[in-house]
Amino acid sequence: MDYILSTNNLTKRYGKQKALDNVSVHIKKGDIYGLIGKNGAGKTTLLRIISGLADATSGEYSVFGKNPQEMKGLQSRIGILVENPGIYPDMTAYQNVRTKCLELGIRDKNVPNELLKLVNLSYTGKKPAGKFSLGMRQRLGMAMALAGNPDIVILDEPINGLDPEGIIEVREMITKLNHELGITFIISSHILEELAKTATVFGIINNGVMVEEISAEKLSEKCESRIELMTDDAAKTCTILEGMGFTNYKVLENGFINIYEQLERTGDITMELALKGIRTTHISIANKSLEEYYVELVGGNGGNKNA
Amino acid sequence: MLNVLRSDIYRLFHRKTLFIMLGCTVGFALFVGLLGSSGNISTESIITSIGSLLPLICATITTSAIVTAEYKNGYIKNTVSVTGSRLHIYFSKLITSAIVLIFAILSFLDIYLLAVIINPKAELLVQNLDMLSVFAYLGFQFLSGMSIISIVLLIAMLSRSNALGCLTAFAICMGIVNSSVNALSYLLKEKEIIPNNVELTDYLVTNYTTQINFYSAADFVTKGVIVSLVYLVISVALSMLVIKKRDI
Repeated sequence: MDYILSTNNLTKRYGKQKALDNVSVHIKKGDIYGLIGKNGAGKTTLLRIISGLADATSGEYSVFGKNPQEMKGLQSRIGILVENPGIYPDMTAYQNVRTKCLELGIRDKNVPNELLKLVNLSYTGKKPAGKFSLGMRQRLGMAMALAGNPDIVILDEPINGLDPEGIIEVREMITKLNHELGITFIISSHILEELAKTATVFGIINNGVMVEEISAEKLSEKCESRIELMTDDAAKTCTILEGMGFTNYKVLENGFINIYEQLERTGDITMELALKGIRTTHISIANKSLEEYYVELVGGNGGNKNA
Repeated sequence: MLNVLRSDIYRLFHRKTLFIMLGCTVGFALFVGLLGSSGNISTESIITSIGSLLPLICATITTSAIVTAEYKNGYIKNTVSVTGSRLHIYFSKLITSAIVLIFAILSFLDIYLLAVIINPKAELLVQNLDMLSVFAYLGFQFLSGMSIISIVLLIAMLSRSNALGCLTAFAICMGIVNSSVNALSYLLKEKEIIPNNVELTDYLVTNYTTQINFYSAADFVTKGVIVSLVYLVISVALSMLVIKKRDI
């Protein structure tokens, strides 16, 4: 299969510490690749290497089917927003974007205005970028990353600092550009629920190691539906459930009982419990979230909001 | 590389740094011009001593500020991702610094001459000189200035610290390095490590920057040119290595 970007056993050492350990990534054209990992997992290091900002200690990577030495002239087809937006605080939004356009050889003075319109920053006028809010700076960085109609856009934590409206705007913009222009996105984030709404492929990285690459469809299958049940007597409830023929269930530490079969029998369960004098305080059908899947995969405390 | 250069020049003229530098240079020039036209200090000695250093200090500090800001703001990441060639980025910065230096030298000279002319006791610089000597002098000042700028650029890229870059610029231009090397030279001669007829300051650029004037002997100027070129070539070579090998 042809990949637009792939890495093969990339390793990066800083002294004795391995920031990346034989990481192999496969990204197809048109993917929205969500790179998931906790702080210090190696997400930014990986993105820095494939952006050309850092060299790998060993391993190789290819972009557009070419290795880095053959990339002359193709670098401009990649837009990046890595670590911080990289803007000049005493220049306006227009001037910052125009600078990026000039580097790309784009001399049309209208192009920066179109990019600013795309990220909803065309109203900023002569205001210096240093006076922008964090969200505005992020959006300006995104406008610069989108300059030159890149084929691949690398975004490192793009929704950090954005308000809920800003997050929705970014999500819709990424989805629109992906569907309409076929731009491949590589997005790293530790806000898993947001990434789950956008990404089509997930790469889960932990302690510098790529734990799993999985498509959104396969992930959905793995995050199977279940009945979540809470009663005032978990032990008796389990006995009753077994009497009803349920065998695939799990009692959690917080007292919830997850039942993974016969999801249509919620009514039967509550009736039987009531007949036996057990009070049901909660019953619902739920899916496993990406966050839960991630935590189970890499280990760690359940219920962490951030990975 | 042309695209990167266009972008750097666009930034140069749309940020405050260049204009602050020009303002300082103009201010210094006015001050020096009025000082010189008081009659107490000769015009030529002012031009060759203070006048050769003040634009250089302004230009080197500006260069350090511009380059370290690129690292601090993270803008250099955007440029690296576009060009793929880090050497293009370095040479673009060097050319932009050359433009800054030219602006600094010309603005100093223009305003100095204006200040001198305005004052009734004015002593016109060009009355006793031929233009060839003036251009030769300016050419040498540009070359020696670029060699110092290339050193400051290297320090700024290595340390990514504006404070260190400015300190280096200041130390070189204000003669602190000269004085230190002089002292070292004296010590080494005392210990008989180097012969008495060897002067270590002969190998410093600023030794020539402040001493070469419109009437300097050809062999002295030639020495200055060679020393400047050696510093320039070594600094550029080291800078190319740093920008290629180091992670951004």
